[in-house]
Amino acid sequence: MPMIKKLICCLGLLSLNVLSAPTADEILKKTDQIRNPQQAFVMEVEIITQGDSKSRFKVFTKDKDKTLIQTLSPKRNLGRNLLMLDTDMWAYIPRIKRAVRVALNQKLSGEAANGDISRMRWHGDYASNILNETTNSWTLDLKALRKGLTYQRILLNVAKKTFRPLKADYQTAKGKLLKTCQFQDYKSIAGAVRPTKLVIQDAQRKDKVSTIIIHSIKVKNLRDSFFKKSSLAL
Amino acid sequence: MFILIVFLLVTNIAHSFDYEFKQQYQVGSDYTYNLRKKRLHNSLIWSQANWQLSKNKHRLKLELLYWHNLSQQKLLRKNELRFIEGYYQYSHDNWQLRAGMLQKSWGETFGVHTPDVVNAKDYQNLFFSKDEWSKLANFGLEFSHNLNKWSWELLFFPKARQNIFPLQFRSLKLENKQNHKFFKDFEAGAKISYLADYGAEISLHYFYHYSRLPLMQFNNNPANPLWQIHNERMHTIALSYNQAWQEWVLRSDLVFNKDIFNFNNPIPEKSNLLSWVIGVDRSFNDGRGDFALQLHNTQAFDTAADNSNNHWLSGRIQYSFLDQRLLAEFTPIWGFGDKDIWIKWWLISRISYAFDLGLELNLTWNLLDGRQWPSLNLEDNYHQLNFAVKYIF
Repeated sequence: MPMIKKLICCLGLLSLNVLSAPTADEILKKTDQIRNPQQAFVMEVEIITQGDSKSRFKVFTKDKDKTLIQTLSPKRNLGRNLLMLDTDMWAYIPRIKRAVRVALNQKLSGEAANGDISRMRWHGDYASNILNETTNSWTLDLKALRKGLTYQRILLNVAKKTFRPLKADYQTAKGKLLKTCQFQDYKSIAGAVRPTKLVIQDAQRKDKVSTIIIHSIKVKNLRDSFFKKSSLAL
Repeated sequence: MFILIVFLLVTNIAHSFDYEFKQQYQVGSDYTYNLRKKRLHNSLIWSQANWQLSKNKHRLKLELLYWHNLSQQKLLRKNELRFIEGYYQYSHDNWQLRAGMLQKSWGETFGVHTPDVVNAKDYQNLFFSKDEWSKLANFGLEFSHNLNKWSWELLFFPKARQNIFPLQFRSLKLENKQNHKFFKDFEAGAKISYLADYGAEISLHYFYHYSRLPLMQFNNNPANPLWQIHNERMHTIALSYNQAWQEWVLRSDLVFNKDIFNFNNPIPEKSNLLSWVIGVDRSFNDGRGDFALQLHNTQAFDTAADNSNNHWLSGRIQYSFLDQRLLAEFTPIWGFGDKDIWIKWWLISRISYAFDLGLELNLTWNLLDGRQWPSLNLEDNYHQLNFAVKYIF
């Protein structure tokens, strides 16, 4: 009888554990909440590439599909601002005072694609599965739900205790590794502890490294009408 | 200067300044060139300044251009200070109002005969035409509204601004010199755009305006030689379309000009002109450059002229190296077909390098082979070298 009780007890605990284990979707949602606020926000970032070349941007983001990037430096690029609405993108060319439709894969600076600072949420863009699990972390396999996203497949390593993203492997749809990204320097910013340093390395040429440093994030009420081509002439 | 800097710091007005030294040389003609026999066309000190002040719903913007021409050639005015833009903007929810010296860019494609007709043009120097200075800002009102996928704007300029012609025209007598009057000689128009869910962007434009390509005819009377300007108000209706798929972007413009003056060898006449441009560009896989190809066509109606149909191919390849410090660009334009009156070949090669501390070098090589360019100060089969050093504060 005591044996049966122990067995029932163990089964109960096991089932509780199964019930409480988060799904891949829930993990991804919580990871997004760690990366940045769920409300509209303004973020100031710096991208440093090898050779100490630095670019600074102010990023206005609302929901997961509206982003306006204002170039703050270098001086030669002042006014070259970008607007992204879902997977559509326009670049402002100050010399001709015109917002020009551009392809989404155009580089922002160094190894950083526009999507690295403009699409800061994975949930909703990717279907997720738990590929691997250790005592400390999960590895999620994220597959793009549509074309036009910066990366078609991502293998994402997430800390179990904190839901912090640790490392991401950016791949093609067929699984060819393009870049790796490490999420570092977790600091208290905009009401939560978030990564403030992203180190992006090219998979083929390891010496090609870009570091994205997040200097500030401020939650701000941004109107939908702000995310229009007319706002590009900031 | 000191007072201005203190004022800018105190008021926290966003600003930028740059100074540029530009040299333009003709280095050959007739498909041959000789750097030793170069002829200086322009030597300019060129400066642009930009101020912006934004507070809540209000915004002030002022952008000025100043140049001083050091060369003895009279191809550009000696000194000039002009507005590139200068306006006050008020925004409320999805509405926006702008008043002041405005400059607008309409159309999706690049090159000639786009719907970009809102501003008058400066024809003093064709080789600077890619810069915004060649469009002349005009005093007017712009009212715009955004609503989800729709946006529309209304433009009103109480007095049309005149094009600026090359200096040699001004030394001769002009007949029908156009002294536009407020409200009587207004220009106005509207634009409506729609962004579809699948990424296509469609715009319809209308503008009632004086021609940006006015016709000038020389009266070869030895007793009284003079230039006659043929320019009346006309209508322009245009449809623009663009769409992106991954690395590809499709651009197109369809433009209808009603009552535009055209030469019917040699008598000027009014005709209607339909022009279209369609092109694609593809971004390289590494995102550091792109190449583009466009087909242009113009068809004049209601005319007996034998040059009623013209077509061109234009292309562009550009790539950036060294983290966008070194930029290289090549733009060929080819007018094919015997009836083409504008361009046979125009090849533009440009390379620029940006140093630290705001210093930038720029070298451009132009080779132009056309038929009517002498009227714009250019000889046939013309090689030109542009050199510029720019310092950005």
